[in-house]
Amino acid sequence: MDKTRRNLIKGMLTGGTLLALGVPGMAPAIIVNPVASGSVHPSRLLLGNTPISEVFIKGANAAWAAHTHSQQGLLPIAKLEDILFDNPAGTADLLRQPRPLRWIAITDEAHAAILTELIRNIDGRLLALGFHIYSANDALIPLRHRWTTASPAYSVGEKLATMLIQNQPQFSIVENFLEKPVVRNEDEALPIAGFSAYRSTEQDVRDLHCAGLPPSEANVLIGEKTAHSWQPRFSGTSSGGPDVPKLENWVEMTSFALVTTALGINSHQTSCTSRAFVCRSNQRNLHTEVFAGTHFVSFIFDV
Amino acid sequence: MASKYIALPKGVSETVFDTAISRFREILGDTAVLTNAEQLAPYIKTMMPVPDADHAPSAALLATTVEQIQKIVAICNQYKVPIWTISTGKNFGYGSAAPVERGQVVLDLKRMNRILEVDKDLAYALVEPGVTYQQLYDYIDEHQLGLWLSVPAPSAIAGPVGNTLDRGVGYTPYGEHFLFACGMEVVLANGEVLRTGMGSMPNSNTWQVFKWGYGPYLDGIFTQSNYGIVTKFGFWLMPAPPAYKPFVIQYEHEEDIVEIVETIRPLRISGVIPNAIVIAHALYEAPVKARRSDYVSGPGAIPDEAVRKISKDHKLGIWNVYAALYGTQEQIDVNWQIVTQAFKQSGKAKILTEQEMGDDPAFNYRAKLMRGDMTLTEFSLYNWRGGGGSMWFAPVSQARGSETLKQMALTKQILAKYGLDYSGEFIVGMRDMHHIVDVLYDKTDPAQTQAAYQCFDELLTVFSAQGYGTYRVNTAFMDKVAETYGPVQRKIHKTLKDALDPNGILAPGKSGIR
Ligand SMILES: Cc1cc2nc3c(=O)[nH]c(=O)nc-3n(C[C@H](O)[C@H](O)[C@H](O)COP(=O)(O)OP(=O)(O)OC[C@H]3O[C@@H](n4cnc5c(N)ncnc54)[C@H](O)[C@@H]3O)c2cc1C
Repeated sequence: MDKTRRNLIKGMLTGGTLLALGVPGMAPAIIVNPVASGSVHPSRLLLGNTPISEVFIKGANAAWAAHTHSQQGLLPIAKLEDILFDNPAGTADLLRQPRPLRWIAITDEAHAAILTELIRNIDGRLLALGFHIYSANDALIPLRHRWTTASPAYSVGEKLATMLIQNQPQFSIVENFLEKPVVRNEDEALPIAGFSAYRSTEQDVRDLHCAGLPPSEANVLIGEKTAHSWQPRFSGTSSGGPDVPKLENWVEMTSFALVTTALGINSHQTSCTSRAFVCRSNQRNLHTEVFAGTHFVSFIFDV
Repeated sequence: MASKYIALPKGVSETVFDTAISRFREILGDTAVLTNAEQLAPYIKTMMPVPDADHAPSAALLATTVEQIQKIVAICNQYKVPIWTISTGKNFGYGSAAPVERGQVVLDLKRMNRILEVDKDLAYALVEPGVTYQQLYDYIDEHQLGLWLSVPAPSAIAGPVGNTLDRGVGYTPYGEHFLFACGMEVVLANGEVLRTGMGSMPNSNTWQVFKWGYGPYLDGIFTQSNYGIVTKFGFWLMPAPPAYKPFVIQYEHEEDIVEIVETIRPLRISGVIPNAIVIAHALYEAPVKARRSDYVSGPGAIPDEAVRKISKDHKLGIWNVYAALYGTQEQIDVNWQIVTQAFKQSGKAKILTEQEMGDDPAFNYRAKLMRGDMTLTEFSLYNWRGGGGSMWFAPVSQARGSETLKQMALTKQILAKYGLDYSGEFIVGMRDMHHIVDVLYDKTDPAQTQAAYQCFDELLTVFSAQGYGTYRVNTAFMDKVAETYGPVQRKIHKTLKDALDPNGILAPGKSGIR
């Protein structure tokens, strides 16, 4: 065991966290590396019991490496395993100290329901809550991401869409922003590579980015009940793809985009109340089979 | 211009709401009045097949005293601001912590969490709304009081006040929680504080021991209602029995529900089996041990054949009857003989005890619930399908075999029409059975979300047409269920509402009452 890790576990022990967790035989939360400081938010990854944890870590570390200085080490990780089922109070204690801290978490749906409530109980601030699902044969759009974020500042969708479009034939990303933004000028954001952009201003301002299908169809695929009148937004050629390291699959890409946002590196702000990215084209090559039938929930929250 | 609130109460302008919020801040302090999106986000997530935005609150207030609540209702009356009260706020599958209508202010009583009294001899507790079962469990343990709680499956994180006020249930002999409630303190919409039952009398020391007081019994009107804010709540606890014997009885066919219910009813009514039993379908138990995607992919409800395979692979019955005996060893031995004799008669039942079940995870969590222990294992249901969609369909059935079979078959048939699985159980049951079905669906899939909505709507329509009423429902369907109980009851509910809360500031829309 390296010294940093030993000291941190010792620190947690003396701080009472592990004692508070106190369930016999339970795998304790392990903090692997020290918390970074400096230009990005002090952040930690919190891994619940999902089968994709290891893959998720890869994407998260890639984002961390891309956006932090080398002296900040690796992204610190806490592993929850099944602690949430057995000892939610202990988990709350773990989340509370040290503070302030930004947590980037993934869990299965069962633990997500509990974690959302723990965040409320400890007066946490929930910045983004995402549901991510790949359901092999079950739907018209098999890969789906649904986010509710406090404001567009915590939007993950655009970054993720620019990555997914390079190797996923069918996906949808829907983001709902709770804070009503100040509507700014039409040219606030750049066109997104591969997508055509549309805006509807009928009730709230909604943005729709489509690849391989018209907005009327995309509208149905994301479950919009009203047929909005979508106005094209950008003309001219779009900018190139994102500057990201090579990532293997959609889970890594999701974690890369999520951690990038959590660290406060958000490329473009938007001024809509919801936006969606819908891609349907069958020409590209994929690496999806491994993650068929996968679902998990992601969180960014501050304590 | 952008609003500084994520939602506004119906009919309240931003300027008026600004004033109300600053008045709330004067009473509670800045940090106990939440208005920004990041703080309110955890209050918004629901599992219902409607946009979360439909249930977004405008603010949340974290009150800690009765006096604060009295002042809050005064402000609400003045500015016509509606509030939605939660105690621990874990009403998963019924609307969670979110209000019934967009823009209502959540009055979150989580910080009002004092255990006021636990009487070891008379076996009762008096608590504030924010007290969790875990807190009470730890308190009883620490003080070695020798008392047991009765908890719903979200045990540790939920609490007795919110659970009982919504007429929730647990699994010990005290499982029908409202039966064991005794005395409430309620802040009324006009700011007056009522203590129900014996609590109305100055210097009474019988508030938590005698329910009825004098004159019309009032406690019931503060459950599943919006007539007051409960600030103290008394209820009875079960003395820890000297011995406890949990067991499971497995059956292999869906039709066996008839035999199960016919066998169990006399045992329940006579008290041989004293606890709120569970008759769980294999698909209710399977998520603890397996994932749906291990057995089926593609659209449609899970086929019976796959369900049979799951039960075989994971040592489950198609029906699993969880029950327990409590008392001295001698009492248990006698009752065990009666139980086994009754169930052995047809030769269909497989009776299994703690020793035989070993560390089986489904049995273990049921055994914990039947003695009021803390476990959140039942949340595994949410991993069955994924996508975060869930609604409890909760019709009441007679405890009669033919009726439970009919309800099960009807529910399964309607669910299947929409491609959804039957994850159901029958619980509590002396003369009735709460038929509890978790309608699980993928909320990220628009087609399935729409199907789930229509399915739930049809379940309510078809069941009510056959005279089957729902005992509790999520906030998206409260009006619909209220409608099924007929116009006279609705009118009485409204008359009471108008009398007790003329400005309609307390949770308008709860149980369809405005
Ligand atoms: C996997 C799973 C299993 C479940 N199993 C069970 C079960 O076995 N039994 C069961 O009953 N439920 C069950 N539930 C549903 C629910 O989670 C519980 O009933 C839970 O106890 C309700 O949340 P709560 O106790 O925090 O109450 P709250 O959410 O605080 O309150 C419930 C409702 O009561 C009203 N209310 C609350 N406080 C007050 C107040 N002070 N004054 C006036 N009105 C008030 C409000 O309308 C509120 O919405 C289950 C849920 C899940 C996810």
